[in-house]
Amino acid sequence: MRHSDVQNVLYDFLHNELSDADRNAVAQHLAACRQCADELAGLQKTLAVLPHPSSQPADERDAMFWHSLAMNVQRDIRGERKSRTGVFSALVDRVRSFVAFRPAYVYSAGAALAVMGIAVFFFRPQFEAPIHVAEKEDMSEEARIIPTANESHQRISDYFRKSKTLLVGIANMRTEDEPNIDLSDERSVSRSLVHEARLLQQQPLDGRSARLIRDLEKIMIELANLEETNDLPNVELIRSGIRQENLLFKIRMAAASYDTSQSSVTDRIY
Amino acid sequence: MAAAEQPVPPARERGEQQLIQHATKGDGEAFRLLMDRYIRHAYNIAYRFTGDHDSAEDVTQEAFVKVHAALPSFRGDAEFSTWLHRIVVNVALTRKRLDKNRVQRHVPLEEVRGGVECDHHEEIVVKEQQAYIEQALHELPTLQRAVVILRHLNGLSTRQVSDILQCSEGTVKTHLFRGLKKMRSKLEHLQEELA
Ligand SMILES: [Zn+2]
Repeated sequence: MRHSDVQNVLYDFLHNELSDADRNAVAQHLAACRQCADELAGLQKTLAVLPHPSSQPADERDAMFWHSLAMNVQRDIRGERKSRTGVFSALVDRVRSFVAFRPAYVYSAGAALAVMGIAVFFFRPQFEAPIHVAEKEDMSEEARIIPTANESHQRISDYFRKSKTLLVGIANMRTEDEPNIDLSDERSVSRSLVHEARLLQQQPLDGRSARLIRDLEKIMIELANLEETNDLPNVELIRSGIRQENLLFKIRMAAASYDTSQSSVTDRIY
Repeated sequence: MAAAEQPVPPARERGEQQLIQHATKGDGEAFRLLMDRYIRHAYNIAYRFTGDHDSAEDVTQEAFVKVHAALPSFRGDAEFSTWLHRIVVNVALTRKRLDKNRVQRHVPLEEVRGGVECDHHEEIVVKEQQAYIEQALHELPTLQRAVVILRHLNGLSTRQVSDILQCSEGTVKTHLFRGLKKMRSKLEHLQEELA
């Protein structure tokens, strides 16, 4: 055997992937050839420092990650998502066309929110006027909420509560003086909320909650897809979406209707 | 989605050939099952080529969109997995080329050391080692790098690698040996630099 022939199969030799005949020939050559024996030793040294094939990067990702990755692929395939911010732009565009008729209300409320974030709850009267028409259509559905077990109500209520906390945090995030905000917590919470949303969607929901959960899911996916740090342009986009969709207000309404401690849904909201 | 009134068995129970046929005809569930089957393999390959999770995610996503678009052209004369992996490799290599024009992806070793604010010596050593290996790997000529990644880091057979890269098995073996040898000298060089 030539040196080069031996050296080209040293990897296979080490991994027991040669036929008996080849294996014997290589072993014989190695016993007699210092140069090839050195190559074998060198190869073993290199392989010892390389990552072992048994530990694969995919193992570091959880089930939620694969789910959302597959979702993103399917969305790309349907052409709904040209880029990471695609869905959101569509959402924002849709809202903008709605907002165009009532700029005074929404922009002033939005500007206030940009500064005050959590104050959304105290600005409720300002929000109610523009949103009322849209919400009114849903009033009949409100009365038709299918009574389900307390446990499932609790779960939905928890989901809304967690979503609200996350979105309030995003709305309040001070981005101006922090060039390197760490978004890893937001990402991981968003991922678990996307997961939860999908579980909730498998059970009976009233129309309004179902739509809200779908809208929230889009935002959570955007949040889950943020870069760990330094993704401030996308954070801004998401914040404006939260404001323009009046999401915090909608969550509050929906959460109230699922609050298991309340016997009357309509009393609580209106 | 619309599986309820279909007489065919649920996609879950169909073989790969059937999944491919149905996916080609636009059956989203069948494509989803194919994805479930291969997405982790694809991700592992993408990660080894790009060197980080975010890029691996992007490459995997883009590759599966391409796979879907190219399904009608899949003739079945290669294994589906081979064909799919070839697309992943191509997307990863294209992205790598684009990245080169962007920023230097690899953090200088001094920063790796300085950036770790902890007393855990072992952790620092592991990080440094990973950085060496990444760097050595990414400095290899493209084909050598591809062979080392697919054959060693992804654990594919010589035959599979030769099918994916469309070269002979002999070429795979030669490039594997040369690539690993080059890595060894690079790693030794880097280790001396640090000492
Ligand atoms: Zn020899």
